[in-house]
Amino acid sequence: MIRIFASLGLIFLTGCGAPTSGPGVLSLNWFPEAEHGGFFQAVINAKGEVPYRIESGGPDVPVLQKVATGKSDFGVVNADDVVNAQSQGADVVALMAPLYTHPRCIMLRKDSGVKSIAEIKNMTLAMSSRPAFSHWLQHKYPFEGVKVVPYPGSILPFTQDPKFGQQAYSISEPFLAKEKGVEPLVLMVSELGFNPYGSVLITRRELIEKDPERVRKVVVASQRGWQLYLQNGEKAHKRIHALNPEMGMDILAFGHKEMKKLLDPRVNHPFGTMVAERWQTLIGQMTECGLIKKDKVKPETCFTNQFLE
Amino acid sequence: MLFFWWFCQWVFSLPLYLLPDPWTVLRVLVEEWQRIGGAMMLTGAASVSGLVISLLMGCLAGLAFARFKWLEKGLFPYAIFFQTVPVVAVAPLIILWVGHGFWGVVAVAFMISIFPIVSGATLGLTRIPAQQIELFRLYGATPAQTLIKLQIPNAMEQVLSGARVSSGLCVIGAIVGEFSAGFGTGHHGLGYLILFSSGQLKTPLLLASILASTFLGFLIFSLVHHLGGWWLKKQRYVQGEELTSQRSST
Repeated sequence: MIRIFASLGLIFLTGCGAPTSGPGVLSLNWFPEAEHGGFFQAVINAKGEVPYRIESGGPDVPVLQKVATGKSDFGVVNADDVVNAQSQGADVVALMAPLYTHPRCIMLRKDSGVKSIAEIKNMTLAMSSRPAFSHWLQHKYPFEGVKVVPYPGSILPFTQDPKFGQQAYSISEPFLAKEKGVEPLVLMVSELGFNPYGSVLITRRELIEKDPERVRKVVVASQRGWQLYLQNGEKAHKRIHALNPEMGMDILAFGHKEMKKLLDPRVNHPFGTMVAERWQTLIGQMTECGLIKKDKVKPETCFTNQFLE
Repeated sequence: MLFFWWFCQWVFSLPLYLLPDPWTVLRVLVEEWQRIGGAMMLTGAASVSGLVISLLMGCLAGLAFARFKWLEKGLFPYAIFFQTVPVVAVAPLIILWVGHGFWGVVAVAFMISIFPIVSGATLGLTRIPAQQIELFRLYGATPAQTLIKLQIPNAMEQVLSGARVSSGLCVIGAIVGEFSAGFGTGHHGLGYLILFSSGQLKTPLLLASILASTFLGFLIFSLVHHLGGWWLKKQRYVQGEELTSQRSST
């Protein structure tokens, strides 16, 4: 609770602060990991002025509030966060979506005997109440006799109990589970029909209107960064590892390989292009499970492809 | 205070997701009363269970420490550990050992609220005026008589004072416990509401949940304070009656 008060205080002061000069801040939604690789590559690649200063995230970092109030100019979140922000009056806009398929999955143990989400019963399932997918899954599936508990932030309970499943990123936790000698079964949430864009670059509408050229430069630099990162991620991985030693070079290489499966399969589209139908589906799903009020958010206010090249 | 809150919100024109005005928070409190009330009941049950177990275990530990000095010297530092350890960091471990669900939450509430009671009980049982101890010794009182007639009545006020401190702490413990343990599907306490509303940017609900948590702490404190006060008064009255009857018989 103290953390929540501290965050509120920080946000309050943030709102009163003056904008900073120099390159804007890009706030990450988590500690640096493979899903941020392209943004790090964009900084490594910069000739002259860097597009942004990357600020690491964590469990309680209020990225949306920071971007909406101008403390950060850019942020990295998931598409459902943008819909949440819009529903609460925070006018943040998605600019580019590197991950066409979201890496979110439910990770079960192979020795649990369960083969699909619908078969999950009489076990413990760890899912955070913060992201929308956990509400959608509980709305969609009966989860008979399942104890839904908070996400522990590690795979330790998973390694101890065959009847323990948890939320995960397909590009990260399965690697750790195998390393600990537990064979994981990865059930992609996207394959069940809930698939928000992942690692979305956002800014606030006010900045788009005030300085579109700057936003364009940042978007293009991020596109290039991602394209180069996907070809060769080594430099970005070294940078990420230096900032977050928990992420070893081997797990980052695993994430890099797995991430290629999550890219836009369509050709002849600028990298990171988003489609209105996908946003509409997401808004519908979030309305269906009671996270947002009906007709509160319009897809066209959530994103723009105008800066993509 | 409400006016100051509203004034800040109005002067700085802060958006709803940053700082909602007090009336919006009150409206959410009313609209979501069933949900918040249910969460309060669940968190309250876990908090009170943690406090009651703390009282039982704390008094037992205090008795053991008072009876065996070597035990106090050996174990009291570990009791301090419960007070100084960052509970947020340890809660996930406790959940791993105790398990998820209601009793996991109770375990964290217990852990955070036991120290003031152990400390109060040990202090009350051992810090007794030398003349009174001497008097009991002169009359040839057994250790059990000294404990029941002198030490325990002497410790009650200190134990209650510890319980008053713990009554606020146990709610914090239960909420932190909920962050890691949860109550299971369909059962949500205030900890869940706090996490959910902050993650979903529903700041009015977040503030309403924080207000409800504060109110719950206040409620448990008042309960302990008044029950304790009533009990102490009753005990003094009984002791007074005994004293009066003993005097009149002599």
